[in-house]
Amino acid sequence: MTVDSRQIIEEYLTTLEGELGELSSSDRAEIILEVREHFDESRRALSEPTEADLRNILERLGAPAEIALEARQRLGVASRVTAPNLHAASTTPSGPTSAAGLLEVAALVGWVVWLPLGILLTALSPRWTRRAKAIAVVVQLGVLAVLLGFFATPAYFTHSTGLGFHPFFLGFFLVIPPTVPGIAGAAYLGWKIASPTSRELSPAWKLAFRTAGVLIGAWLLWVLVLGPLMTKRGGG
Amino acid sequence: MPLDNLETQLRRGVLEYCVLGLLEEREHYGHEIVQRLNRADGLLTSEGTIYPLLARLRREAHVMTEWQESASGPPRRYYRLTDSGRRVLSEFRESWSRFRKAVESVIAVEGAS
Repeated sequence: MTVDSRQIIEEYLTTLEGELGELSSSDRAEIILEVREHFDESRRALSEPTEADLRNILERLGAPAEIALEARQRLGVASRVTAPNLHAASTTPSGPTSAAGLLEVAALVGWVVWLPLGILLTALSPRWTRRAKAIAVVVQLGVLAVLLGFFATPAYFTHSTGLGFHPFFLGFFLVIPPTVPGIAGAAYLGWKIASPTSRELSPAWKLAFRTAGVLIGAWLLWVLVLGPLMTKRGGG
Repeated sequence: MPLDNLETQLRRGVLEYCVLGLLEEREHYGHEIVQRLNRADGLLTSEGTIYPLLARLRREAHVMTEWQESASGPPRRYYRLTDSGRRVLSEFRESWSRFRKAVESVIAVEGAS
């Protein structure tokens, strides 16, 4: 039995892609991807699919125009998924996902003013996902580490200043206000409120981010740990 | 028939919460979600129409996706409920139960008289 299942699904997907023309390219790609996965999954469930079987899978999926209509309605601009209030009597004016509340504003201020308070208020807020909260802390620590590394770099090239302490501490606290890393964390959280989308990164971007992370990590290891150690031993 | 139209509207309105509810018990991949909804009579008319909805739930960060290896065949893209999805679901649950009680109380009164 030779049924060219590729050709059958590709024809369908080409039509669908044309129908989805109004959507953003990422929405379009996501729907195409999932419909293709769905088709493959259904096909694998059949031991020896005939052409009629394959056409049946597509029929159950629905006409491309029907999926496209649904996509326009569901993914159209300014439509958001929040729980509807079916009971008018107890309607509250603002849904929790519509905007940042007092708690969120206080949390962001806390990040800048006094970090422990900011982190505590952020942890209490339901507005951010657990992942976003964790990322904000990591961003804060990351910026802190990079700043430390930046000021530590000249530290072990400099010979003793006679000041009685390492010159990089002076540079660090004089030049960089200690709140800068907190501001970075707050900026991330603020951005998550402004655009709560969570796009999946393409593999190329993931690779780029990982490479950058490894390079920065290696640099920090050098300037903060290995460099000072070697200088100490060399300088005696 | 007006009732057909009502059912279509209701189905459209609750479908996303049904998906969130499904994902509350465990993560599912797309094809699995379709099959579960198919088992619930009348919730899904054309299977493909679930994917725009899933794309939107993900865009709104109510669900997240992750590719996972499968024992049989290629990796699958799993959907998982996020904290914000969980919150929306619990709000819907409350809202739905109030709505149902309200409708049923009125209908029961009229039926009895």
